[in-house]
Amino acid sequence: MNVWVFLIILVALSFDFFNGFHDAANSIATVVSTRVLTPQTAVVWAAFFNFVAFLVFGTKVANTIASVAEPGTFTNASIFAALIGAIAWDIITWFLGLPTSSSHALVGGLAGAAVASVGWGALVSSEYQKIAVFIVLSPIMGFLLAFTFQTAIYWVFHRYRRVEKLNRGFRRGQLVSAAAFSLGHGGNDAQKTMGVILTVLIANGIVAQGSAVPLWVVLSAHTAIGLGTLFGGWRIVHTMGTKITKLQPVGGMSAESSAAVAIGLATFGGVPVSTTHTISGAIIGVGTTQRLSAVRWGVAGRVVWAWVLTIPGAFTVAYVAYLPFKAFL
Amino acid sequence: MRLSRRPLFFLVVTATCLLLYEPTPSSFRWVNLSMAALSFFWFVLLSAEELLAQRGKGGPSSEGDRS
Repeated sequence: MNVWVFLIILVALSFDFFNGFHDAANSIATVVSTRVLTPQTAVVWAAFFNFVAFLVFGTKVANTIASVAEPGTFTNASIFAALIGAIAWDIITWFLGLPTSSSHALVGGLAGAAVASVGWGALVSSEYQKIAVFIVLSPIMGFLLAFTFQTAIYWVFHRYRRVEKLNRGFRRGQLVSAAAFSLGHGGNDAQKTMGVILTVLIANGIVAQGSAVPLWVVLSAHTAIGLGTLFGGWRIVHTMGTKITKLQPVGGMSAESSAAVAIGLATFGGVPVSTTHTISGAIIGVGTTQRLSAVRWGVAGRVVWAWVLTIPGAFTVAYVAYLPFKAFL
Repeated sequence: MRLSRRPLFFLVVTATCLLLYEPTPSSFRWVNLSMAALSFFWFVLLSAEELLAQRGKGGPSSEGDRS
């Protein structure tokens, strides 16, 4: 393994670490804001389920990421440019306050680097079509499932008068739903990094095209995202749980379990989706059971802008980042 | 009699799922159909709830609030 490969794997794992660091808030914000767990305990809870996700989900998402471009397209330089594009776009949008998806940034970055190095013909349109459709479908799934789940709970329990006992049950339920969401997050997001590392290994002839993801790649990606969650979570925990709509334990449970189902389905189908956008959709679904004005539509609107801007933005940064390599190689 | 924004929002979601049907790879089209069906179910149910409430009160309800 040469220095380039080692460096790119290190950058990819850092990307994964910061994904966990940043997205931990999505998994635990509702459990913390409803005071089911303290921030510190919630972070450990989420990090554990982020890590063990590899036991539940396969590596279909990683294979999708590794096949977004025709075989032989990616070189060390283009993968490096793709990661630069994704990371730079994440930093730019973090400054602008746009809730963009690291996953979409990575997909956009890979596309930009592939086009800069080989041309438009390098992109596998069927894979991009699948990813693009699910950019819109996954938040819709989160929204509809959460609305349905929350309404079903209202229907079942609306005559139940022992509110305190009921709330205790929902608080316990939230532990399970937060775990399920963290499992989905770890499963889908860690696999994107695995896909990048797999691409590097294929580009350097370390593994053959179409091979399974090596176990050390699976374990290192899950370790990176788990550690990121552990270190990052509780400082940015106030975001999702309170910014879109105010949540009760029952709402948190509905939102997390619905998002977990949506992300789990996508992961089993091999589709990289944004966990941030899916949980946002689910929280909006819970808010909509009260009334539309219970949802802060400004935040929801910014998610839509993030859909539109992320892939072209990361594409452009990665394209530009590859140009110096093109001039010298 | 008129509908509030909430049922109409579900109608828009139904339309979005159906619009995405064609570009969705065939192995995932069941997601579009099931989500469109679920959304349409809620559109019908919320519309019926509002229209019945309006008939009872003799005027439009305020934004479909659940009371």
